[in-house]
Formats: sequence, structure tokens, C-alpha cells
Amino acid sequence: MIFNSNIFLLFFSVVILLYWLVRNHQGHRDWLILIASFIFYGTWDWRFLCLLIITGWVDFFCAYKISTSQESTSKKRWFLLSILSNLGTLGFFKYAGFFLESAFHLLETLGIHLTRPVLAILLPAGISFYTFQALSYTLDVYRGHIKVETNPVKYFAFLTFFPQLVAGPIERASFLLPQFHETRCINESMVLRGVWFILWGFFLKVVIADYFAPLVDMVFNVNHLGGSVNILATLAFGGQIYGDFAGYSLIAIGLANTMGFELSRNFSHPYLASNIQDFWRCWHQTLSAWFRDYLYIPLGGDRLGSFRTFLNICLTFLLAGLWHGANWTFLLWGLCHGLALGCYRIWRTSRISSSIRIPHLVGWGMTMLIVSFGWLFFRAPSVSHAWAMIQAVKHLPAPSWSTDYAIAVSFGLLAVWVYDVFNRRFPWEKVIVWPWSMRVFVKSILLVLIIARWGKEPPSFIYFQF
Amino acid sequence: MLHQKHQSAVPQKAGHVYLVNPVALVKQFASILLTVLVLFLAMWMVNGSGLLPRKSQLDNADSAIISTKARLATTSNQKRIAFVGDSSCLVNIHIPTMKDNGIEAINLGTLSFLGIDSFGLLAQRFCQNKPDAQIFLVLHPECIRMVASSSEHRKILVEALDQSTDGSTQFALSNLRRITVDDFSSRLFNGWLPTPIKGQLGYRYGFTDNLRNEILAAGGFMEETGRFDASVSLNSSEYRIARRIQSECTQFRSYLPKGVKVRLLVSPIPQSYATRGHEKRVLEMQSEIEKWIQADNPSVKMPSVLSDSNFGTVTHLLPNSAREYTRQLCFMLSQ
Repeated sequence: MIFNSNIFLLFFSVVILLYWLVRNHQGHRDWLILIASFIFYGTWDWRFLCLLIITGWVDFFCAYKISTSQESTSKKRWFLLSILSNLGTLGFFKYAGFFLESAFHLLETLGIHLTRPVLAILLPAGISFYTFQALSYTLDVYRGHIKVETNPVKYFAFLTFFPQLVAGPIERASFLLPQFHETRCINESMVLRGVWFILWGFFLKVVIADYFAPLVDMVFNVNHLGGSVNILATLAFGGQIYGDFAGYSLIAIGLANTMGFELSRNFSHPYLASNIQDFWRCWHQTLSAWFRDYLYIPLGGDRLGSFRTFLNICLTFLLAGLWHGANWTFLLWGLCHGLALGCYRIWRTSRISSSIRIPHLVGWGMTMLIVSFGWLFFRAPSVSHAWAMIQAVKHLPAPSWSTDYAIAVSFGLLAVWVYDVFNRRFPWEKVIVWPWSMRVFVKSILLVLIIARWGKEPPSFIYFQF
Repeated sequence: MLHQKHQSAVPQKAGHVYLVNPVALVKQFASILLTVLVLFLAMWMVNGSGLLPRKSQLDNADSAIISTKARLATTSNQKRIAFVGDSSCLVNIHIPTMKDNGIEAINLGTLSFLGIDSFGLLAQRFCQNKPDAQIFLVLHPECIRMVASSSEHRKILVEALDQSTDGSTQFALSNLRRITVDDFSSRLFNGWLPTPIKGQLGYRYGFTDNLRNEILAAGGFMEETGRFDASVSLNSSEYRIARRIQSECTQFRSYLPKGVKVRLLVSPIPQSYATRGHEKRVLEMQSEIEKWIQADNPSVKMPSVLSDSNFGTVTHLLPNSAREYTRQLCFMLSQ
């Protein structure tokens, strides 16, 4: 069940109706959220729901044991069990095939030929997202940052909260879990904000991302096209993934708002960033914060000198790349961003940077160049494919339709830019004071655009595969 | 156990409270819906007013192919020979090769979904003021056994053939979206926002307007871009004539002026796909259909089976094979 499908609209309408009925009883509310989340997730594959429940119980139990254990060794043991359970599950389902394949490839290059086992492991939807959310919970309990949750219904409602279960935002227990203990207040402003976010989210997904999708596929699915179309397709993918992922996040936040819950912001017009650090403050903010707090800072962050800072950044981004998928392309994408951010940090702390001021436009252009270069690896099915596309820019002739392609991509990129500029200029805090008629008009235009692009067979969200 | 402990410690609380004025909220949502309806109505009226350009016929690949063929049928005044039929005609009959062999012809092959009677509409348009015209009906066995044709595709053809017809303003609740936003955006962006083609065809032709231009330049021929894979499981290759074919063939013939010569050509299938006795079955089907379309003698005898390497799909030859096939056809016609 995906957000941009008729079945989800029906599902959410029923949930909202039942939600109103259970308003007087917090326990019932939590049960309703839990059951709705299980149904939502179970529609993909009920077997994965079982996996989610089992790993969830392990974390719940481990966290309880961590909080009740007196000795630090015992706490550590339970903590390690939780880490092992989460990373073991993630490792098996997501990385087993990749590491085995890479190991066999390495052995073959060394002249050792073995029979390759055939692995057919299905990837559970959103496993990286809910695993990281569960990990952050046990980590925070272990560090003493939050109190242990003793109510399994609330814990599972937090872990599987359906608006953000499959593709985030990756929420911290310290932020989301307490909301399940509160009587949530749903006021008019919250509902209107929720609807505003949902409409913009659908706009980003069905109008922007789905517009780019065929343009990107027609170039990335083959590697024999030359000239500018390869560059344009990479830019188009930047627009597609932004529309797709930021759209999902906004819909998730909006849905949660209409139920009285707050979720963290995940995107803040990243394509207006003037440097790579700024970009990462605005792109997939909850994942960036996760890696910062649970990996980069424990590694030493920027406290151990320039070289260690550089290494820490590169390592963090390599792992962030691996988090996205078991493919060398994601590792290269991570490395590309790690090197860029590491170099930027060195530049920023150097003496020269205080005397030379890079114009905003130049900084923006450089940032977009790095980000787009990264997207090439992110989207390409393999490193060799990406390399072939890079070489084809110079060595192969452009297809006869490259002018059409340039027009179509430019139109889409213009729409992304207009979206970013509009939403930076008019955040919700400003929109709420607009005249009533103005808000209604903008919402209606968005709704018309969404209806116009709403498909019978809606394409899924890119981040579901992670 | 944990749950029980917790429940006893925490008093029962409300899940959530609604601090909203229901009337104000309903007013908000109702006004959005009303504005949307007003916008829909405005678009519908603008669509019918003629203020915007005509609706684009390049919204998708099917529509682009059909409308291009309608245009070719209307504008090919110098040609006397036309090939009409399903997509096997579209991709197997290579017009530049025909020209090289001294035959001036046009390829009006479209899609099997149109149905044989619709092929007749194209042929009829081509034959206007050409009493000496010659029509080759090219059918693939897959098309001959197809149970139904698509009225939607036929509608596209009819609209393309008759530029004055535009059914988009006819109101029906079931196609509310099409007659409002779809038509409006099609008219608004008509001509300047290219429409990408999805799938294999997109890798070769990119956009619908490029597809149209290349088809026009090649006299109606379109290249197959796939590669036939015999290992992929396919439908049965036991061919028979679908019930609808007889009436469609009769209709096809009725569209053509008297004196116009009609001949039938059945397209080949891959060797690995053909069952024993396929050639014989094709001859039987050919003879029946020729009767219904009142074909002129002699029958066009082309191979009904070719080796797999010639095919992009079960129905389509690869470009080089299409050239070779057309060369053989030219030789056969010159006999």
C-alpha cells in the first residue's frame, strides 16, 4: 500500500474515522495506530510483518533489561544483543548477497574458482528505516538519555507508526515516544498544516517526481546514449529523487499532523544550498542527524584534529552510502559526498577561507555539481554503467531527441526551483496568516495538479527499496 | 507482565482532543472542493471555446503512431501503393528499401488494437481520388486471433482523420478528468512540452514528436528496438481466426472504392515459436481472409517462419531483417 494509491486514501479515511471514535481512550488510540500500522505494513508481505514484530520484541526486551540491570557488563550484554539483532537482520536481508558476491568476485580474481551459491533473499520494505529507529531507541536507553518504555503497545506504535514506517523521517524515541503518552491536541491550525503538507507532498511525488521518472529511465536504463542527455538525465534524477523523497516525508508529516502527532522535518529546500555542508543540513535531515549522533560524534567528530575529522566524515558517509543499498555505486556516492564535505571542512577552517569570499552563485553551482555527480552513481545500476555513461558524454553522439530532452528536463527543473523558492519564501508560519481565500486558492490549484497527474498504476517511492 | 505493571501505574487518559470548530473546518474543505470544481468547469469551457490550440495527438506513443499514419494517408498523393495493417506492418515493411527497388509505396501500418475495419479507414483515406491504388493488408497471426479491438484506439484514428471532430467537450461523469484537466493540459502544452515515450521504444525514439518525425521521414516505417528471447514463456502458437475477423474484413472491403486492388500478406513468426504445420495453417487462414476482403490474385506468398535471430519480438522483425524481408517482398512482387 503506497501513499499515492486509491487504496491508501480509502485506508486512511477509515483510520481517521475510527481515530475520532477512540479519542477518549489513549489505550484504544494506541491499539488503533498499532493495528493500522500492521495492516499498512502487512499489505506488502505479512512475513516481513512477522520479522518486524520479532526484532521489535527483541529490542523492547533488551531495552527493558538494560534499564533494570544494575551492572554495567550486564547492560552492555543486552545492548550488544540488541545491536546484533538489528544489524544482523539488516545484514542478512540487505547485505548478505552483496558481500558474498563481492567475496566470490575477489576469490575469482585471485584464481580461486568456487561454485557460487544462489541467494534469493527478498528485501523487506523499509528495513533500513525501522532498524535505525529501533537502534536509536536502545542506544538512547543504554546511554541513559531516555527512560525505558514498559508498555509494548506504545513501543510498537512508536516503532511502526504507519505514516513514517517505510521511508521515514527516522524518528528518535526521545521525540516521538513521549507523544504516545500524551493526550494529543488536534487544533485547527494543525489540521490545516497537515493538509497543506499532504498536498505539497503529493505535488512533489505525482507532479514532479513522476514527471521526471520516464525521462530518467529512458537514459539510465541503457548506456549507449551519448552527449548531453547523460548529464541532463543526472540532473533530472536529482529532481526526481527530491520530489519522490521529500514528497513522501511531507505526506508522512502531514498525515501525522492530522492525527495530532509531530514528526521531524526531513528536507529544507536543499537545492538552494550554497555549500555541501549546507546541503546536508537540508537533505534527509533525520538520517544525517542519526549518523552524526550515533557514528560521527562517537568516532571523535571534529575534536581530534583536521585529519581525523576528514577521516571521520569520509567513514560516516561511506556507511551512509552503504545504508542506502548493497551496491558499490552507493559506496561511491557516499565517498563522493564524504570527500566533498571533508574538503569543505578543511577549506572552511583554513586561513585562506577568511580572506577569500566565494560568491553565493559560485558556491551554489559547485554544490550542485558535486551533488549531481553523486546522483549519477546513486541511480546507475552498476559502477561500470555509470562509467560508461560518463565516457559516452564525450565519445558517443547525442540521440536525435536530445533537444526535446533538454526542454523536458529544464521544464521539470524549473518546477523544482519554483517549489524550493516558494516554500522558502512562504513557510507554513507565513502561510497561516494569509487571507483564507488565498490559502484555499493555492490548495485548490495543488489539488487540480495532483488529480491531473494521479495515475491508475502509481509508481512506487524510490526510498522504499532501502 | 510489563504491560500490566504499566497500566496499573498510569491512570486512563484521553487519546486526543479536537480543538477545532467543525463548521469552520468543513467550510475550509468545502471551499477547496468548490474551487476545484469551478476550475474544472472553467477548463471544460475553455476546452470547448476554441481559445486554446487543438488537443495534442502526441500524448502517448500509440496516439502518435496512429495520428502520424492518418497524416501520411491524407498527404501521400503521389503514391499508389499502401501497406496497411497491424504493428508487424509498421516495423516489417521498410519503405526506403522499396524505393531502392523501384516501388513507390507508403507504410500505413499501425497497431493490432485498431482492428481490421479501422485499417480500412486509413486505406479509404489513402485511396481518395486514386482509382488505381493498390492496398496490401498486412496481418500477423497474433492479430488474426486477437479477440477484441480497442474502441479507444479507433476513436483516436477517427479524430486524427477528421480534424474537425473533437469529442472532448462531450460531458460524461466517467471521463470528467479527461475532458477537463487532461484535455486542458494537452491543449495548453501542445507543441512545446515534449512527451517522453516509456519503455524500449523510448530508448530509440525518445519523444512522441521525434517518433512522428522519424516515421514520416521513413515513409511510415518504424524500427523495432527489442530482442526476441525464446526462453521467455509465451502464449500458445496454435493460431486460429478470431470470430470478429470476418465482419471486420467485410467492413474493411466496404470502405475501399471499387477498382482498388487488395492483397493480403501474413507476417512471419520466429522458428522456435512455430508449431508443426504452421505454414499450412497460415495458408488456410490466408485463403479464408482473402475471400472476405475480396483479395486480388495472385496471393502474396512470403515465408511464414523465419529464424529467431531476425526478431525483436514475436511479431516484429529487427531493422536489418525488415530490410531483407522487404527486399524479398519486392522481388516477389516484381515476378
